[in-house]
Amino acid sequence: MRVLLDNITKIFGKVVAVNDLTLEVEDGKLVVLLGPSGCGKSTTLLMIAGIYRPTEGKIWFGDNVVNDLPPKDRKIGLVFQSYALYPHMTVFENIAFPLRLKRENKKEIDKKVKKISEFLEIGELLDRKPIQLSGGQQQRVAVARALVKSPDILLLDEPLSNLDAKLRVVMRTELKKMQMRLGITTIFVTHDQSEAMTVADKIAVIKNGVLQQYSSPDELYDIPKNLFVATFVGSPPMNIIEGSLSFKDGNLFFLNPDVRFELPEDMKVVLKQERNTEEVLFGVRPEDVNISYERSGSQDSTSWLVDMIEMMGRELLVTLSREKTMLKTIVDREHVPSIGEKVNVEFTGKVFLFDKYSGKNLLCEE
Amino acid sequence: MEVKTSSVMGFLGPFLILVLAFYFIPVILTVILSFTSMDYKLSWDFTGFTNFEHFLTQSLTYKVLLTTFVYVALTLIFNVGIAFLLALMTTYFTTHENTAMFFRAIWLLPRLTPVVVYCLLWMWIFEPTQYGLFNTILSLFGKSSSIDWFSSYPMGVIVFANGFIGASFGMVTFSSAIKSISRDYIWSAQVDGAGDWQIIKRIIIPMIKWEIMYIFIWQTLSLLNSYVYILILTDGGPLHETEVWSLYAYHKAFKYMEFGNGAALSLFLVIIGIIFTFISWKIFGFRKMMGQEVSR
Ligand SMILES: Nc1ncnc2c1ncn2[C@@H]1O[C@H](COP(=O)(O)OP(=O)(O)O)[C@@H](O)[C@H]1O
Ligand SMILES: [Mg+2]
Repeated sequence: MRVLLDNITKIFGKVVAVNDLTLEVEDGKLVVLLGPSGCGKSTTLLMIAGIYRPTEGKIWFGDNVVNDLPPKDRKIGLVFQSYALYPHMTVFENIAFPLRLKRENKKEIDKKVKKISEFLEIGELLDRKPIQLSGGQQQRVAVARALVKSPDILLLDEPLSNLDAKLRVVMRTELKKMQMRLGITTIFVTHDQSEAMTVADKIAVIKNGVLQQYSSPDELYDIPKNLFVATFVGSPPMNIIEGSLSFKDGNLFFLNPDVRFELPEDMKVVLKQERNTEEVLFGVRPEDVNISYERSGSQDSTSWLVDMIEMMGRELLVTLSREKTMLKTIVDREHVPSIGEKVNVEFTGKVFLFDKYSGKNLLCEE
Repeated sequence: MEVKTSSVMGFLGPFLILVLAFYFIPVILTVILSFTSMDYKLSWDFTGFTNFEHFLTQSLTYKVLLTTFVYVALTLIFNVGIAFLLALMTTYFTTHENTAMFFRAIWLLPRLTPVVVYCLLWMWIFEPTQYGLFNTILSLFGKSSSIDWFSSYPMGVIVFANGFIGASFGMVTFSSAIKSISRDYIWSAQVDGAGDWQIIKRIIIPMIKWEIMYIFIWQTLSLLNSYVYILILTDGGPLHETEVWSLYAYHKAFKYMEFGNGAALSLFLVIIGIIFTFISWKIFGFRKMMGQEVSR
């Protein structure tokens, strides 16, 4: 089922929780609503579920406006971060609850509960009470309860946030596999960008109730529309350096007292001559910052000081500094620098430029 | 950690003495007293089971027993039933918290009012002349003759007066219990297809089962034992129509100065209370509650 949010706004008293949001979720796709806590993700989801009514705008399911449809008639399954399993019911009763409310006959209910619990590998737990289950098991039961009535749309509000880190990584893959097998249109809310990147067909990044960018994970990473998206997506976050642009001898440079970088040819095409001396923010991801140790004579002036080294498992996160500028870089463990050492820096991958005031990506035409 | 018995007693001692002096000793005294024929002369003359035989052979005793049962059962409808409805109205059905608070505060007002003033209010409400509130209301609907509520519906009078003040306790307990149910449960149930009635029946009631049990037992016991409003409003009349067991015991002891008889009647009430509590625990599955963590 295709879902379309058409200029949706939700206001609670004085708080604008969702601000003029327009979003289309294609049939059978998994879309993630991503953003920091309090940005309006849950509110958006609850409006799709019919719990909240939009203050303005229309919600379409397929060809129908569903604004006036109560939750029970929307054919949706909903899973909360808390799972909301009814503690006084067994796992079986929990999963059967939506079917019982539809007054399906007992045989049919047994059959459906059995089928979905085998699909989610919780067949042995049916007689237990929720309190006797582990977090991961509870999560599966909640998903089973949401799916048992074969909904058109699956809504997940931070479904993995209550699990421990290791299980979370396993379960997100499982959820994605399950979603693809069922081909069910899914809207998945999370504040965890790496979770979003792994499960999503498309990601909607939201900040303060406003949609920042809606695109595939690749595009979000490669072409962030603004500074917020650029720094929110990717871990560790992108390095941002203040400075200005300058044309010299037909070449375009990013300049600041500590950094002088010649921008690639294609950027020069996009950025016209008028941009000379404009104040900008320069962005480079830590994995695209390379350090080298050879001292090549007079290069001393470009050398950076190793400030801090953090162990990240396979790699190291190294913090470099130079006068007023800080730079983080990822270094593999074969070339461990030592604190206080001086190194040379090179930007090897893609670099970004943002407007200092609006935060807009200067390389995105609009 | 090892704890010395002496230091435990040091901490618990003062409290234990209080419990002993004000809870335990009165019970013991009641038991002993009920086997005496103590009257206004206050002498301890042991007479065995005479008091019990006496009240078991009196037909008034059975009338009082029935009256007590009717009174407790009807008032419980207010104290538990209406209390639950009020709690639902001010939580589940009212999203605006200030409105709900205001409404609950109004229901709590009688609790702050001195008993005598509260009873005076009800005397005015049930005033048999045309100036009584209920009679005024009836006359607005075109009924010309006034009703003498106290002689026609004495049970109604005491049930209303006790029920209205009693409901506020359950209301406050139930509304905080309902408010502590995570909204996720209600929302999940709505999405699963439950209407208001099903949410109340299948989610809210099971989740506040222990609060319901608590209020049910507490109110039953206090209704069995309290007679102040009845004493002031009807004094058991007319013709023992509203004579409940505790008032009966009070009358025996302090009106007729038959302390032995009064104590025997009270002892009977204590035993009924204990039996009732055990039965309720069984019905509500109290053991199970103690064994499980209540999660919301
Ligand atoms: N029922 C409500 N009443 C008032 N304000 C609310 C309500 N629900 C959410 N908000 C506010 O709306 C904003 C968005 O909340 P929410 O959608 O829960 O954020 P998220 O799920 O992204 O963390 C927050 O500022 C929150 O305080
Ligand atoms: Mg949320």
